[in-house]
Order: sequence, then structure tokens, then C-alpha cells
Amino acid sequence: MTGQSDSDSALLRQMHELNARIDRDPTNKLKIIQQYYQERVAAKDQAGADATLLIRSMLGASEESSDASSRDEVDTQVKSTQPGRRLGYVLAGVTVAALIAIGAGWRLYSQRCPALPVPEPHFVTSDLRSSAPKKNKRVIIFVHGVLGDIDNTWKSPTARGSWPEMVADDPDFVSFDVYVYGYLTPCRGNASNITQIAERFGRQLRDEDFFRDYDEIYFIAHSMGGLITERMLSTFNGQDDMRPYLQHVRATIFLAVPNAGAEIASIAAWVSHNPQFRDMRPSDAQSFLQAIQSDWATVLRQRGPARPFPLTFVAYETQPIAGVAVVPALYTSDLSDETPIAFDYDHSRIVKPQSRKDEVYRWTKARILEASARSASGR
Amino acid sequence: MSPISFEDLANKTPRYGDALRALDGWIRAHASVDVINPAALAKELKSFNPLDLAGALGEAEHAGLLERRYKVLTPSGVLDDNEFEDPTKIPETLPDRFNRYFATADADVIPVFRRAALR
Repeated sequence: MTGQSDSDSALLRQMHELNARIDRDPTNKLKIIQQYYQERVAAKDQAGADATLLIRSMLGASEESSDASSRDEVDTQVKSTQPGRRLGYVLAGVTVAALIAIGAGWRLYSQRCPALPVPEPHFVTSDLRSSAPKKNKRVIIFVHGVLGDIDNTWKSPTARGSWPEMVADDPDFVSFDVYVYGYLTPCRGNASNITQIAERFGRQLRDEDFFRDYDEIYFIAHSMGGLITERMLSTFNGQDDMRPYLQHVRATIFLAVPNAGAEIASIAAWVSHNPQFRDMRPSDAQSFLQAIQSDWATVLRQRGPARPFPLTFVAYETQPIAGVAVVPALYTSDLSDETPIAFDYDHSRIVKPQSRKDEVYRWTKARILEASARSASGR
Repeated sequence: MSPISFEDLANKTPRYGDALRALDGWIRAHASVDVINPAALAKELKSFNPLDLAGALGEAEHAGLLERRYKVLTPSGVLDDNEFEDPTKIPETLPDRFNRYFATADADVIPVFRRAALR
């Protein structure tokens, strides 16, 4: 038993040493790992190197408790082998405590306003499954909202997977690819505005041949992601060579998307506090939103028997966040092919299903499958 | 054909017996999964000490039930499709699924496992 815990401790010590080397120069992580691996192989310990990298990847993903207890054990061993350095440890302890305090303060700040990397849109398969994208002729594209995040917008902390991952694992969607689009939407610093994001989004879909490779495209958009989607598709509608793309877009599902209506002034006030609208006065923001809605209404109005798509469905939240209903019942029926539906969630929770049994998930799924069936029947 | 079953291996290595049985059950329950990501496995089998799960994976590899490969985590946080025998074989740049190359200098290296019988 002692031998086992000794070998575990040695493994953890190696892992901490490797992590310390990486922490000192994180931009050269791969080179450090490669050097470490070569050193262990030279020391006839490839198995140890493999085991270290394995436990490193697992502890990084598991609960901290087991890591912390193991770390304590390792620290105890190190101390017992190096007696007579108490003053050094006290000073080190004070330094560590100060760093922890600074770190905690920074963490609190970061949690309120995290520095986000520029997201990379990607297909969703599963962490555990590697399969080539564009296997199917149908694709569902998720577009997150303001202050959202390409992955976490769609994931409840208590759910086992995000909404896109649930779709990727849903047997009823086996003939659909799943793609998440993202853009930088920070609560501080500069970022592209809606028009710029919409142009970039449309350009990427065309560059990646989405409209050639997919017969049926479905958008699930949240909050400002809906405005971006509307803006992009309206742009297509304005250009002869791109207008046919709209018939590939079989349905748009808009969840808690700010829309035109009697309360648009309050929405404009809300968005004007957002960096994405930094340079826009509230009155300008109102005009801008109305322009997006007007163009989108034109897209829907121009549909007919020969060009029946895109279908569009709308849902909104009824519960406020911090006492404010971000997107209450603002929708008008001419911008939805069915009566807009209310869900008793707040602006964030409405796109975070707990499971495939969640009512928003089921409602959205039914709309997409309905639109797909309508596509197949030619109606 | 594998020379030994997970159950045999669990009986042979009692320290990792429970973890090996859990690993076997997990693999059976995820028939469509062709790559086992240990980090995701640790998340799903939370009741097991990661050290035991790592030991179980290592034992299964040594017994020929699993094969180890190394992958790179892309900037977007998903595993790149390319696989390598060991970390020293990873090049300075790799193509992602859109054939756009990204620098691997600050990318993390993730060991993954494949079922030997499937290869």
C-alpha cells in the first residue's frame, strides 16, 4: 500500500514539476512537454512520462479536491526531505498568501468581466468522438448573444452537456451536422459591431461553402445573435447572386431576440450600454434596430409558393434577470410563422436546457423537424 | 483479437479492478465513441480517483486492450483530428478541420486511447 502511494506521489510530483516548467513559459508549452518527454525517454522512463501526461490531463478536468489532497501529500514529502529551511518556507508562505489574495481579487474582477479570447467557430461532435464535418446535407447553426460565449452560452452548469452537444447526441438529429458560430462580445474593450459581425458571419459561411454543401440550414439564435442572423440574411436578400442562399435557410429559431415594438425604446436603452453599441446614441440604436427589423420583415414578406423559406419561429422569456426583463413580449406575429411562445425562464436560462427533455429544447426540435419535413414534402 | 478481457484484467490487477470494470462499462455504453478522452472520462466517472482511472487506462494499454495516441487541443478547445505516437512527433503547425493552420507552440497535448480491436 505504501509502495502504491509512493508511486502515486512520485507521479504527482513529476506532474507538478512539469506544470511549474510550463507556468514559467506558457507560450512554449509544447516544446517544454516535448523536452520533458525526451528527458524521461533518455532516462529509460517512457512509461513514467506517459503516465505523467495522462494524469496531468485527467486532474486538469476533475474536481480539485483529489488534486489538492494529493498535492498536500506531495508537499509534505518535499518538506520532510529538506529540513532546516523554515524561514524560507515562512517567507514563501507569506508570498503565496499575498499572491492568492491578489489572485482572488483578480478572479472576482475577471468573473464579473472576463477577458475573452476571440472565439473560433467550429463543428460540434463530442469531446469523445472525432468525425469529419459536413457528412450530412442538413446543418444546425447556433449563434450566441451579447456578452455570450461560443460554448458556455448554451450550457447550464448543472447539465451534462451544452445544447449543441445535446443536439449532436440526439438520435433524431443524426442526419444534421451541428455548428456553433461565435464572435467577441466583451464587457470591456473594443469589439465589432452587429453589421461587421453579420458581414463576417455571412462571408465565412460562403467561404466555407455552407450554401453549396448543405441543402437545409437551420439557425438557433439567442439575443443579439438573432439580430446578427437577421442582418446577415437580409444582406443576402439584397444581392441577386446571394438571394438563392435564402432557400437553403429552412428555418430560423429566435430565442429572446430584441425586436421592434412598443417597447423598443427600452431595448435601445439596454443595448446602448453595450460595447457592441458603444458609439451609438440610444436614439441611433433605436433607428438601427428598426432598420434591421424592417429589412428582416422584407425577407419574410417576399416569401411565396416558389420561395417558401426561411420559416421563422420566435420565443421569449418571461422571467427577469436582476429585476429586469431583458426581452419581454415584444414580438409581433408578422415576424413569426407561429404565435410567439413564452417560456418561464430568464434571458440567460432560456438557452441552457438541462436535458433533451427541457421544454425549450423540445419546442425548438419540433420546429426544426417540422420545417425539415415541410422541405421534404416540397410545401 | 485481444488476448485478455477487461474482467480478466480486473481480476489480475485488483488495485485497479473497480476502475477497470467501470472503464469497460463506459466503453460498452459508448459504442459510437472511437476515441477515449481521459479528461472527459474523469468527468463522467467522478466517483473514481483519477489516479485509479489513469492506472486502469495504463493497465488496459499494457494488456493490449487500448492503444495510446497523442492529440493537440486546438485554440477553440476541441481536439484536433491528427494523432501522434508520442508528443515529440507533433509539428510546429497543424491544420484544423477547415485546413487553416494554427501554431502548436502554446497548445496542450492530450493523451487519448483507442480500442485496439477497432484499429
